[in-house]
Amino acid sequence: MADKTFDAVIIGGGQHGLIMGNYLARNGMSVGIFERRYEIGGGLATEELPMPGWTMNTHATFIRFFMAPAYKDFKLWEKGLHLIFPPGASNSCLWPDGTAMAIKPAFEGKEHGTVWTSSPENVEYNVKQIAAFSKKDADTCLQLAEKYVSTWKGYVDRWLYNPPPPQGEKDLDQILIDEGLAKPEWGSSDVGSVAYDVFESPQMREYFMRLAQGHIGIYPDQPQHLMLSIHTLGSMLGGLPISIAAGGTHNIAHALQRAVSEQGGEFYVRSEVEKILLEHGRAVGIRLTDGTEVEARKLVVCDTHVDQVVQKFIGEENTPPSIVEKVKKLKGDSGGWWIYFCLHEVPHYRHLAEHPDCLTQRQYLMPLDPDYLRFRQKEELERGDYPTHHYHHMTHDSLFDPRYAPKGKHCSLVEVYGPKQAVHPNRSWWENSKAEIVDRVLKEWQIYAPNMTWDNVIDYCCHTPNEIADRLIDMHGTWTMIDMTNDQMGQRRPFVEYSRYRTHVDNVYICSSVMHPGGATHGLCGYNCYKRIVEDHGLEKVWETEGRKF
Amino acid sequence: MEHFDVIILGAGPNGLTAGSYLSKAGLKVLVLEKRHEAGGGLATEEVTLPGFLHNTHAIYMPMIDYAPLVQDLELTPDKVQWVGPDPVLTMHFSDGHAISIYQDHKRTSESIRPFSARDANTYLEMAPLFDEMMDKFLGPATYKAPDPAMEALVKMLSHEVGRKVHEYSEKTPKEIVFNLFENARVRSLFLYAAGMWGLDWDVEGVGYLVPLLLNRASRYRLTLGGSHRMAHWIYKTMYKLGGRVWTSQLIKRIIVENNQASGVELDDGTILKSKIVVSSLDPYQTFFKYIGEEKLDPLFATRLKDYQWESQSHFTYHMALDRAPEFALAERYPDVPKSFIHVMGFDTPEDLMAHWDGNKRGELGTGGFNCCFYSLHDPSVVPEGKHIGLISQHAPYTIRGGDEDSWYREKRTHVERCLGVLEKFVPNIREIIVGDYVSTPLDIENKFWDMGKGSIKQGAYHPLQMGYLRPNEYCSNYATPVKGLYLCGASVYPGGLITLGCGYNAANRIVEDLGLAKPWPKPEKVAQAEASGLL
Repeated sequence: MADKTFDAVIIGGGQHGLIMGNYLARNGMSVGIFERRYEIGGGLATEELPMPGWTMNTHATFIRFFMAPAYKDFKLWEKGLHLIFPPGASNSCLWPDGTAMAIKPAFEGKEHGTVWTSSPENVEYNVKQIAAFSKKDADTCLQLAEKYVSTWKGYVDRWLYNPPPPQGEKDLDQILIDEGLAKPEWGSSDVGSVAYDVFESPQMREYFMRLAQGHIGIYPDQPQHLMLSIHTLGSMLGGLPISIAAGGTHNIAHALQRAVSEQGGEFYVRSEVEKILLEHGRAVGIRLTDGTEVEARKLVVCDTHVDQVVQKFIGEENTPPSIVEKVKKLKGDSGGWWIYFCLHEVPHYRHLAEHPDCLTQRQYLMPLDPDYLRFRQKEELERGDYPTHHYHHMTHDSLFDPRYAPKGKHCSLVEVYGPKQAVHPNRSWWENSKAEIVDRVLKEWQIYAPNMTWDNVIDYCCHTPNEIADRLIDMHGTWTMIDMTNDQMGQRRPFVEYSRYRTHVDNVYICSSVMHPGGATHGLCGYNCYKRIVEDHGLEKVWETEGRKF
Repeated sequence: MEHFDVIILGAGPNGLTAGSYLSKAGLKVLVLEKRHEAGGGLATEEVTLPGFLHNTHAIYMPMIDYAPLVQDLELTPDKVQWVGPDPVLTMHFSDGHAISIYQDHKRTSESIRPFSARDANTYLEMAPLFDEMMDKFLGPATYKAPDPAMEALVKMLSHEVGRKVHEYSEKTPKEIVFNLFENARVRSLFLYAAGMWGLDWDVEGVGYLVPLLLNRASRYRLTLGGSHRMAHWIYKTMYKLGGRVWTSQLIKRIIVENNQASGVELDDGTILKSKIVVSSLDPYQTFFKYIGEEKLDPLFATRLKDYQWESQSHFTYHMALDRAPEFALAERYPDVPKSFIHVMGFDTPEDLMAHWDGNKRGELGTGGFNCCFYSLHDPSVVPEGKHIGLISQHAPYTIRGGDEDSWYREKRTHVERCLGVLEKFVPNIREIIVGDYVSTPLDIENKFWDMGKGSIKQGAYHPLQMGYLRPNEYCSNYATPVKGLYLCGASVYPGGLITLGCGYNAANRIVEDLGLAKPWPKPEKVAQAEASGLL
């Protein structure tokens, strides 16, 4: 006799699990969400770090959650979620020679970010910014943007908002290549090669390579998926802006949970799942580590890494050996430092006199040495050394949202990529690296903003892959569970047999970032997994109800 | 957008309590919270290392055995659980001795006996009397709106238990403790227990709190899984009752027209209308920041400005520990490691009073504190084999000779001072700390805006702002001079700590004013106290 019974049991209360819970509850199903941690949200995690009164997002930070169909379908702005779109430029690049480039969003949002209209003035502004470095690159960006609007966007949207096609059918990247609409090497070559192939100026080459790392966590020597390449290339003149979740990205989880609760769904934190209970090859429920048994009348959905699903919940003994092997071969390796600074005052960039728009929410400080980033950094990182040059990716949320720091004070988050975790399996290397890297970051920052001395720092905390791995066990120290390299994307994510969200057990699904279209706060793994469940269980075609294409 | 009957400002223990009762009464309630989590002081956060769950504000639960909410909202044991570690509170002395307060008065008495047979006997007489005061009067009084002073006095004097409580009222905590006990260590222990929540040792007129606080010193509970579990379950209950709680909300103003509150405006200009607004915030924010002095009766505004914050704040230090602490006194006193609260650094009552007085002058000394290693009683808050430590020290909000940023600069130095005291009693402490988190008086104010000047009770316990006068005679009994605006935070009776009383009493008042039925019973002990004439 089960302790609790639901139509649908969801393991893991991250963004995708919560989204899944909402759609299933919308179909009248009873839903129970079981989360291991003490709060729901997974990567939508916010803490008062490094000290009380400051808001630090410990995982997801740069968010475009307004892209998520769930944001609209459940009207989350009516459930206390407030996404802030900083005015003016959203991205900026600063170089040590005093030059800078600010990029404004190419679209302006209305209705809480659910309606977007293009902004020709912003695009024109961006063209001038890029043309200051290279007229040719500016023209290239313009052509790419036009191509994106006229052709690519339709494919990218179709790719993002749908499950990959079944095994044996062509995925959209292949269709684009076959139809001669995109260069095949933009999917097969490394990011560095694409940057050098497309752009001539060192500034744009650096920016493109760092964007790929900032977006999906891959290094310049790794290839990204063709659809992501064309999406990034098509957005060099500014795409949709990045938003700030007022008060912390965890509020997105709260809003999703409120929507679930309002529909009668239940959530349980500190409820770690040990097993999916199987009978005659179907899931009939789950067992928690405390022995509680929960019946699942219809299905079980896992918002967790596939390795937990196969190795722990279902068990390798209940899994075909070929799947067991594929799970073991998945690659997820990344490394770096995420440093959150509490500051007395914002950075006073030297660049601001000539480039008043370059204090933006998303900011890159780069050394103007793309050859280093493309060729030489790799050797240093493979040796396990600190990078000679940092490519700071930072945000200054308190400038745009007073909830992020006490009145009159500020905060900045700095991301610096470093050796991959596998190079330094020893935790103590990372532990010992913190003081050194923070000092190096500040010294480099002073080249751009002289006031960034220790006197301006009230406190800081420095996270490494170990903190990510300890906090979110599915992440294994990465931001996206498994790498978002070309070989693990689209139909190949996590591998072809599972790529349509259903496991080898008929009524067990996976909806986490380990699935297409991968990591980031877009809510689409959950949405697309729901679409697959719609096919299998005859549920509401919500996109039809809501009158949209996907 | 949904429409709301009631908007509550602040989702702390009292805002959530009021919200859940009002939802239960059938009202459509929205609670707005500034922080990204509901719960206020019921905060449990992963702020040192992943997997270590720290109670960053409230931890010692004083009134779980009385709070009606625990029964009324079916916070059943399989959902939220509390444990009562025993001994409850142990004072460590630097010469290798210790005294413990146990749940069982006889055991406490035996712990006192080696130092003074007279005091041991006094405790045996005193403790049951305090139990009776608590059970018949002080406990139930927490969950009923206060009467005006004269009326309360008449009721009090009509009953033997009330007369006994009244005898204490005019005395200072020091007089009460010194009259009861002769031994310096025993005095130190009980003076600490009385002053633990910032009740000044020399304050007159609120002595009735001493029997209550000494009684509670044998009753503190720990919430399994962290204090925030309580917030989660009240929150979930609210949702089941149709209530709503929104986090990270900043308010621009409470909408008041013609002296009638009718909703709030958020910082982005969103207008949320409601019939009633209930504030769990401090009076300064509620009336001056969110309504504006110009909209208030001048006499009322003048009286509001009398409201005082506490004379002392708290400095807290959270530790992630690689293994269990080793107590220097454990060999001689095998119960010491089992103790819930440890008090260290005060060998005599003079040490203690000097520390408190120093705080009032803004001095950062090497005074003592209480500390707690709650993972010893609840291993679920740490990774296997690891532990948590917490130092809570009375400290000044304003550092003498400093400026508004002083605490940012001083905090690490002050951690060292505290560790210097702690290592005398827990010699291995420095080798086992693997992560930490500091909260200074300034940080309390940054975290909880209603805790001005690093307050922990939303305002001092002072006779002119206690009971019917909290926060003042204009706002007694939870209604305010602004129609449709009520107060439900710790700045109304019965005040601070996790009693859940302010929110409960405010909800009852609102339901009565609206003429609604109360779908919850009157607490049995309140009914008994009323029958006896005490309430």
